[in-house]
Amino acid sequence: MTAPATAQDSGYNFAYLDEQTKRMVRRAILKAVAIPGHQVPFGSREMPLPYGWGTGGIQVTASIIGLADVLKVIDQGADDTTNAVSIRRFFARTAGIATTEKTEDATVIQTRHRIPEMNLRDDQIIVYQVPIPEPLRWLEARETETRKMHGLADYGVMHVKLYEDIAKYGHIETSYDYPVLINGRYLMSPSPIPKFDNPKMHEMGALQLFGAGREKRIYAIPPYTRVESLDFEDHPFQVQTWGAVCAICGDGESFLDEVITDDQGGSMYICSDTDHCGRRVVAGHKGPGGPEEST
Amino acid sequence: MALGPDFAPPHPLEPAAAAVCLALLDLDTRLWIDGGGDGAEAYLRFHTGAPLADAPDEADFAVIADGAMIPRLDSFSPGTDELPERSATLIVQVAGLESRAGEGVWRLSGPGIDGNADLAVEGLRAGMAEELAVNFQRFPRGVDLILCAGARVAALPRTTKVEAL
Ligand SMILES: [Zn+2]
Repeated sequence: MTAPATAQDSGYNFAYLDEQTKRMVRRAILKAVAIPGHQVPFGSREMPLPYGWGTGGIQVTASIIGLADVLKVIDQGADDTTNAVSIRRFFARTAGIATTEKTEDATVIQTRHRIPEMNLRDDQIIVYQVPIPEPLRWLEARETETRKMHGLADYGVMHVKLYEDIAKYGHIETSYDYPVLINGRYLMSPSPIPKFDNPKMHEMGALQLFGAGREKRIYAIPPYTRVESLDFEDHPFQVQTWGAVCAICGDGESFLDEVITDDQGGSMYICSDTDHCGRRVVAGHKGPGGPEEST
Repeated sequence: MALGPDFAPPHPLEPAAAAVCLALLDLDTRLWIDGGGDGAEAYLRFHTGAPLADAPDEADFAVIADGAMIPRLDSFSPGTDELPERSATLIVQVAGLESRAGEGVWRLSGPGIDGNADLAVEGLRAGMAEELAVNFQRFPRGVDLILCAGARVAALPRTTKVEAL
């Protein structure tokens, strides 16, 4: 589960990136922290992993990580997916740092598509991998225009879009990458996390950093910052619910993945956050176990 | 260069301000030095390669060797509403920094601070609390301050609300 620090492969600069690139990324991070939710351009570098594998998040992590850090990497809540394992190996090899699957032991958590269930502390940093940093992209493709909208805090188009959803479907259709307003000012994409995770961003103890490699943008939410999911008085923001509990640990409050168990339509639900689920099992919690027949 | 306990930058630079400079400055950052004398300038140019800005409002970073002599905050670039990141970061040396309550301290609040925090700042020019309030008001434009004293650092981004008690 937890791998201690090892000798760094001396063929690499510490954490792969050269020092000048790290300084450039750190300067972008500092401005991003000073202007919460604002997308700061940075000179994204080629990384030895393809875009879509979290090159933005990796560059942010590489620029902030130090010898004493303990890194956790998750993909969709799990530590053992190919993407998470290769990023963890990349840093173990190029920085010789310790890695862990335990949320509470990590000082830096890089993530794709989830926030851990456990409350994060202010001695931790969470780094999100971001494919599309611009929340207004699908409503206005021109960057010159979206930049103006952010400059003026003119987010009418987003409210119109959400309201049209309500008119058409009776509710807001967006369930991932649900737009948030940071510190009452900037509209921000939380990355493709489920909207279930949005409330965790609000007043979170940990510093939240977002890296988009292909689009060359970094943005941030400092600790203890107001994060509101957009909504309307008559249609307040709501998170997903399942009406089910985790088959393994019995949790009815965590984010659940449906797992198909046979070709007869049988399925069960299990926690998306594997560390959370394992911790509950160790603490003695039990779920209903096997697959439930669908009705 | 390693920053161990023996790290001793030349006068008037103290360890915290010098370390912040070495971590952030390089060939791509325009630097403006106020009251640094030849020592600070030669040292920072040699170790970072940062080109000097001709005027405060052209600087990406400004090093203020003595906070008692800091120029007005509106001398530095606040960026624009569309590009607020193109704003100056001021590295300001002060005589003392201490987290404590009491008369004359600053009560800080805003993003990054859980509730509020009291900070005693010694040796900063009078009128700074008022200028920081103006800086706070013009968000998203604004300058960001990194106060340094000896080996201590306190960062005051533009979102930090400063209330003098
Ligand atoms: Zn579970």
